[in-house]
Amino acid sequence: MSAASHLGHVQQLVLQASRRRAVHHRVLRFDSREGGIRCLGQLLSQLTFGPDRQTCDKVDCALGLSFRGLEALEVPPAYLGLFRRLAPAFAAGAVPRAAARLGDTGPSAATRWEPAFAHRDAHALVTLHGKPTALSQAVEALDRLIASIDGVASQGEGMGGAHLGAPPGYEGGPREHWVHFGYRDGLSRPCIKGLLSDDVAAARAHELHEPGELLLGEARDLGDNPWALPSAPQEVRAFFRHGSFAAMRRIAQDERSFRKALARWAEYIAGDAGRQTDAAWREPLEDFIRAKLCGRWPDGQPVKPEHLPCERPPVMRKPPPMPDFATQDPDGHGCPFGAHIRRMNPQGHGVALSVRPRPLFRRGMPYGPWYCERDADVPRGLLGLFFCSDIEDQFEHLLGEWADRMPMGFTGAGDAKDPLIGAHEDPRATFVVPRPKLASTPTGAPWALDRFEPFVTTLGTLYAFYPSRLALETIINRTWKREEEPWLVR
Amino acid sequence: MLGNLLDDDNLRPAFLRRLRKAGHKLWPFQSADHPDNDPAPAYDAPPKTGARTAWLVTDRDLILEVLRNPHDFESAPYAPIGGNRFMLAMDSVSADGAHERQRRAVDALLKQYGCLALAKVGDEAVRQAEVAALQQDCFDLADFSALAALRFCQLWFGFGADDLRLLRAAALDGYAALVHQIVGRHASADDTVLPQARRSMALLTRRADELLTEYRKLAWQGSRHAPGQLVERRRRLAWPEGVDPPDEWNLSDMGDPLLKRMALAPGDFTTPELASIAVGLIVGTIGNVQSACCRLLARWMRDARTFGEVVAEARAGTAGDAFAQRVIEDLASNPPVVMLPRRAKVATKLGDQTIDPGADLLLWLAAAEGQGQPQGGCPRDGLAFGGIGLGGTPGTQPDKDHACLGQGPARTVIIAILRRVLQLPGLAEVIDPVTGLPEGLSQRWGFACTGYPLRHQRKKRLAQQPLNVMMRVKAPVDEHAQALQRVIAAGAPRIERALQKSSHVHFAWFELIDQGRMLVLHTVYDGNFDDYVQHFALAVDDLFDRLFEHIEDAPPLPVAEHPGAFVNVIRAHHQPQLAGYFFSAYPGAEVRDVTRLNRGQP
Repeated sequence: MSAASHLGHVQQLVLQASRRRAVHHRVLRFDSREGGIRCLGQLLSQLTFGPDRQTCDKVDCALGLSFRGLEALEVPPAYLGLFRRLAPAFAAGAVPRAAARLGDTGPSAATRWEPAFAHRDAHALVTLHGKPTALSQAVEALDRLIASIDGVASQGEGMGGAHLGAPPGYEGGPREHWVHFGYRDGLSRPCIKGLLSDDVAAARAHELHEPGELLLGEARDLGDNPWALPSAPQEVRAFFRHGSFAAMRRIAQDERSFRKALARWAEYIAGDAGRQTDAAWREPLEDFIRAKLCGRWPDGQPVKPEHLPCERPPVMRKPPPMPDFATQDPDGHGCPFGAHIRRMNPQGHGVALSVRPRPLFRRGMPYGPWYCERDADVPRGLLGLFFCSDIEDQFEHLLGEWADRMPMGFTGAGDAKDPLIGAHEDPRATFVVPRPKLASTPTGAPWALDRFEPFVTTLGTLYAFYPSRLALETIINRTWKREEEPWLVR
Repeated sequence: MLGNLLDDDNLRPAFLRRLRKAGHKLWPFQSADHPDNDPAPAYDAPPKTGARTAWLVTDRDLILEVLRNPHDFESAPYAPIGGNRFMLAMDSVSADGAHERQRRAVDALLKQYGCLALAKVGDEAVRQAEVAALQQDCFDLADFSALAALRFCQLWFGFGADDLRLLRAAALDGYAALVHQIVGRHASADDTVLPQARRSMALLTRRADELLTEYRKLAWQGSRHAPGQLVERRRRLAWPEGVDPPDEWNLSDMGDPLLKRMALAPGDFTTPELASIAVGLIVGTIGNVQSACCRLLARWMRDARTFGEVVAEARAGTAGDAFAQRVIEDLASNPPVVMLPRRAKVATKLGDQTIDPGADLLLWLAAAEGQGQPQGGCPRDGLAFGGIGLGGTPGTQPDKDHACLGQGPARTVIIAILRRVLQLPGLAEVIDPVTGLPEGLSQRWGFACTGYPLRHQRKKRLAQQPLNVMMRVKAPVDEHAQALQRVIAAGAPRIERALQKSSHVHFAWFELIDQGRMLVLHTVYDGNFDDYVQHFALAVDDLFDRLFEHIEDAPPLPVAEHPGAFVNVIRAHHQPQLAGYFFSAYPGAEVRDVTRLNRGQP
């Protein structure tokens, strides 16, 4: 590992995904400032800071504060004003922005979100990662801590999740990271420069970003540094420096309707190829469609122009990274333009990303068991946690724009939203799958998959600020810089 | 006191529960209003002072008893709105039978319109309202539904597009006055409501009178002017000035509009009488359509599953029309008319109370819901709201008198409005940024809707967006304008390449206006403003650097280092199109669709 000692005061979860198996998220409400500050004071010693100091038996703890939480802690107006100006999405909160910026309407509308995401009452998000046994002890300790402090309460229910492990039919065992709908997870891992050792960094060069994409007060990929705050006093700059923002998003995944749709589309493509009755086609074909919707096969390997509907490529334990679409798959014959990963990471299109990279540092984990007919109704989905330095340009842009309509520069046909996470409304909207290039299937018009329904429902989103240790100490000790202006306005 | 109890959405249900628990079928309350038959009493006459006893009736049987006994309970509270010619104020038992005559005439007229033809008028009205009212993501359903209902009346009655202003004033002021006379006057003084309504309704009555005369005149002489004009022009000349012939909107199925039919077959009514009948119908309709739409949608929005179902039904089109059926059923159990006024003519026994002559009764129909009959069985008096027939429970009272197999024109337009609104992409309630709760339905007295803020994704209805950036050229203008010409001419190939690569821009051009004092950049693009503008900031940054050398209020340069500031300057100098109006022949098509079709690809 490279010396990242200057990041020792940054919360670990901001810098890297936890390697632990299970997670517990708890939203807190501060009914009094004193209670909130006491709670923070007690949590401080349990938070995990700095990169990569994970030991096997420990539970890692991270703490984010919502804007309402900062208000409840009576952070001075001048500091809040800076958030309002430079991080308007965070200051506004996810609830009022959900319909316009995140596509959350209908069953996903913010009016129906779980109580944990209540606009005014969700003040802090405590995230614990650990082995299941250690984690449950830590959760009990957290409960005791909350109970022991006046003016602090849990808001809504705690939310637990755990890595799924490989699904039936795939090797790899329980340590593997997969998500519902049956895809291997954690394949794209954007990281900031200066955190990885040189050889690892060289291998992952395509995923490296300037620190400013994740941490405040550093230069971003474009070279600009919106949180430089040149006219602010040193104490103020230090408060914001190396903080980060996250969007915590809980979604429910409707595996049953997803599988039903897969079967319907498989029937359509098999029928088109004259193979309706060919049982040998059925299963590989559903995997083929799964691959097209996501842009990767379930095991994570990229879907290539020469891959055929009727044969699954050999399963890989360590799938290669995504190819450069512009050179290797310019027409979407492998990974369709509308596919989930091509939208979320439109590399190689020279337009959407060369203008403004929008990396999201994902720290999410699934919840609920793998789907089977017997317990089809058991809640399952994703506890997403997405870090970035700019919620509107990174998180909201991906969900509200790229998941909603194809990113700038895309030339492919089809008007469906992101097939996996889109809030589908129009049953006539299509996801277009060009025929494989070397297809033995008859040539002709591309396959158009339609009648999409929302396979995911948003249960809530919370925007949180992850302060550095120094910023947390400022909040706890109330060592604010009291003189206002002129740093407020410039 | 009663005002608060009936107006506050939180107090009202509790109040009703208390009344029921205490077994009050008739509840006396102190009214602030003093009805006066003399609209202009002498200045030296002593004022009426103190409160007056009025009665709130919440029992279904008592309400029916009052409504079915026009001999003892009259509709006089409506009279101050439109004078004694106002249809609602006339009692069916009036000595000369005037009300009955009007009612029969209106029924006969309405029966002449077919259900499908009116549905087409409804769809057209909604389409016209949409062009003007849905140019932004956010809109107010109360405004939108009122506008659609006004357009409906305009097309159906045969008013001109310019009359929309008069229609709106009369309908909204008239509705405010109805609400005031039904309930508001008991609680608070508002001496502006009635004169305002009378004036607005009088202006519309005058216009309706003009049009009736004009329709009759045209029927005699055939056309407004001598022949010899082109066919298209002649066709318009056969109609009053400003009125579009129905076939222009493809509405010839409905035949002649209502005013024309009235003019040609006046029965034994004078033209002013016909005009005030027409205005009475309109005033009784719009506010109720508005409230019905808002209340139904708010109710559907509450439950995710119901909302999903109605959206699917609304999108499924008219085949079978489960949606229309649902609107009719839900309207019956959640009607827009929840209170009616009556006045005792003589001392009358009602329940176990004696009502003094001249005492007002407030019939709280909504309170009687669920009593007696399983679902919304309480009849609303058929003509109480314009006779256009919002209707009660399907198949029961008052609709049997109406054409359209019980589907009144008001229902037709309600169905058309709600169907369209539910089809809007990304439909959601606007959320209050402070509380995080929906801004929700604003209503008075639990029924008169004044606002319901909603949002949708306009860009999904109309993919393209115009951008008109107007920037002041530096002085001396001639010099800088020439320099700008040179920069653009020289940079054109690069601009072209950047535009093509983006596959997001339909059209783009520069223009110097005001004798070179202003540089205007026009483009029509797809999708997100920031995305698009940032793209240009970075794709042709040096070109913009050179352009901005000649522009006042330039952003910090070089552009590439300050993309955020560049986006802000462009946004600040964007002149939105007038009235938000923008036409596209292919509203759903993005650049990539158009270019693909151009290349002959599917």
